[in-house]
Amino acid sequence: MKKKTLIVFLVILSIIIGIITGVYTVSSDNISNKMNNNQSHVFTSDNMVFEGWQKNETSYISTTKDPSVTLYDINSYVNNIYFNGTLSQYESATIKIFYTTEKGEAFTEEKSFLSIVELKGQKVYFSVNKNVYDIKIQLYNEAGLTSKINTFEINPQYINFSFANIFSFVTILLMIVIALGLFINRNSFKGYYKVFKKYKSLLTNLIERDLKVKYRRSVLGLLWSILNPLLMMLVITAVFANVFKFNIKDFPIYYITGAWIFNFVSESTTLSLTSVIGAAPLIKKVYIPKYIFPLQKCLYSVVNMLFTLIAVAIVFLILQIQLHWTILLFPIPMIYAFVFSLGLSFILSSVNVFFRDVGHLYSVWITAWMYFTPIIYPISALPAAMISILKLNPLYYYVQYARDVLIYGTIPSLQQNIICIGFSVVTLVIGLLLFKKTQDKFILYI
Amino acid sequence: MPDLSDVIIVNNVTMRFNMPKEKVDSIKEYLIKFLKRQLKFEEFVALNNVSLTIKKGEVIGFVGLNGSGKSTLLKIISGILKPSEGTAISIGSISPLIELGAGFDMDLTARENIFLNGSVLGYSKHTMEQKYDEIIEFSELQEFQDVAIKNYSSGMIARLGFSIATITRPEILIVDEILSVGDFLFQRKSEKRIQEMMNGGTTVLIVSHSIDQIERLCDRVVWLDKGKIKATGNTSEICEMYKNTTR
Ligand SMILES: Nc1ncnc2c1ncn2[C@@H]1O[C@H](COP(=O)(O)OP(=O)(O)OP(=O)(O)O)[C@@H](O)[C@H]1O
Ligand SMILES: [Mg+2]
Repeated sequence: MKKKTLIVFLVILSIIIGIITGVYTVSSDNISNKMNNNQSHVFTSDNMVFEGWQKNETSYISTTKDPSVTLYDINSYVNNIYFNGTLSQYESATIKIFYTTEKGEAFTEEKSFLSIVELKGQKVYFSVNKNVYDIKIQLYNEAGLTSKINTFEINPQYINFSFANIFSFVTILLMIVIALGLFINRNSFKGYYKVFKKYKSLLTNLIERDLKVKYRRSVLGLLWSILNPLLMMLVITAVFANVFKFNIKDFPIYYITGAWIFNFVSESTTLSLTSVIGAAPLIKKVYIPKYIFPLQKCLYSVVNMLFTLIAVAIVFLILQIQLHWTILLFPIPMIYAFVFSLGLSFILSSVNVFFRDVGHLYSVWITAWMYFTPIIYPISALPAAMISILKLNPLYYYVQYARDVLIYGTIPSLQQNIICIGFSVVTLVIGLLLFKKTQDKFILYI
Repeated sequence: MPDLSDVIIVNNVTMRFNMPKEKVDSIKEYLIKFLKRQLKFEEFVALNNVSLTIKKGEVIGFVGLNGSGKSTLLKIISGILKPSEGTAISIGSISPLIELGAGFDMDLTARENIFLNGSVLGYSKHTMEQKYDEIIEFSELQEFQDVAIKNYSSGMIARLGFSIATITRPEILIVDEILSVGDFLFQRKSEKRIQEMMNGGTTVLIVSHSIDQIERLCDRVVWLDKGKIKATGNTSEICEMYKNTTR
């Protein structure tokens, strides 16, 4: 009884916190509007046409062109600029931003965008952490092509939004953990923990063995874990960069950040699929908590994922991609993807014990899934109908998240976080329940 | 009322194995069979309503013909199998020597396998580091510790497995026909080790087809026949009865 009321209380509390942070977010936008005499910071230019690579005076958008707006009034940090472009497909662009601070200092910042992904009627965040008086924006694109920016939007309070965002995200996560902790009987939880501790060294030993077995008799050994994604990236870049008319500098990093997430999910779930069946000799001989096996495969894939991260870092260095502090948030998409994979692994490994078809189906599914996730192609290459289907794909969100923090330097929104957490937690809960329900029967079918 | 000194309480345990006439393990087959209502399982009762309590420090022998359910019962007691009906409770740490060398990886060396198998049995890394030399010494494999075990003879592998499994003194030891591994010198040595554990107060459950061994070691004998306990009691009495069975 007491436990139930506590859970209800926690749920209500988290909803209230969600609403408060949401309201805070909305009101912060209102404040910024008020500060500018109810002017919204949208700057329009109908004659902003960009042609070729040559610098063109008409290719500037300037905030001072609009006399009713002076950013000086805002007297605040301009943190992010949203571009609303109507670029046609298959164009890539570099945006140069010139800005002047209230003290008269002039700055230039240049940023290559994976434009075709982001600028097609979408918002792009551009962080300028200075007190800005005047902003001019110039867009370059490939010779012979024309593109246009219709509007751009400035949200000076964006950084507050992010704090609210992080805060509510952490709270919601905490609520989930606490609620789960309450749902599970405390004593049985202790029991689980004790068993887990006992078999922790088995877990590490099995992972170590997997690594050892993988690199036995190869000269480069572990180095392959870094080389492999790099070589893969080179091949894919050579083949696909032209197909999608990517800016050649952008494509490798676009690909490898997507593959970083996707390959982890694909590897961990494929390995987990046969993990219980593969452990048949062990399961038949001694008592071992069976969740160890899918967990082991997922953790093993995490190790590989960390090596791939080194590869990603190397690409960043070689191509001199601009670094943002948000890179430090890289564990978050990893955790989301891990929880999701673990849940899926529990489902697959237990179902596969009873129906071996799952294994055959899954290898087909993984291939389909890869093409269904924007890893080698930009989202803008898809027709609108496909994009709405894409939104049912959890991997789309994890990949997006990874690119947001690694490449674009933006903090993913609250909504993005909630969607990611939702997919991960729901999958994990279903996986755990299914696995727990069927695990005693495994031994009779392996 | 369970006695405080009871360490194993087996209560009305029935173990049924589903033996599908043909193995159905694809969804399509399953669906077809399910729709046609052909999904008949031949139920096989390996254990039929078995109850048993064992006190701390007892040495129990299990005898019975092949397929009478001895291994199944020991697997249920050690938690490897879950019974279809009934409960099996055991109190204290169990070391099941049902099949030796669980989790051995043939491509790894003895050294690596000792740590791997140790963790399979739930020993911490620290324990294994401490006991490493003792394991090697007992298994007499000093010269072979860095050789991949696929190059071992089967007796050597069994010796290694036995040495690891008996490295700590568990509260309950389950021995399923493994005392006949190794050469006669090692057999003597392993029997001695088990005897030491018995003297130290470990509860021991032994399955053996060597009546000699049972008579030598056990305080009490359980005779299983076709999944039921046919008789239980004094070692010499039951062994005498068992020896006189015919098929
Ligand atoms: N996983 C299983 N699936 C189906 N049947 C099984 C399974 N395990 C055991 N059995 C059946 O249960 C019966 C008892 O087997 P068990 O291994 O317990 O016999 P046992 O007394 O140990 O025999 P032995 O003296 O040969 O070791 C056997 O008839 C066997 O066919
Ligand atoms: Mg047997």
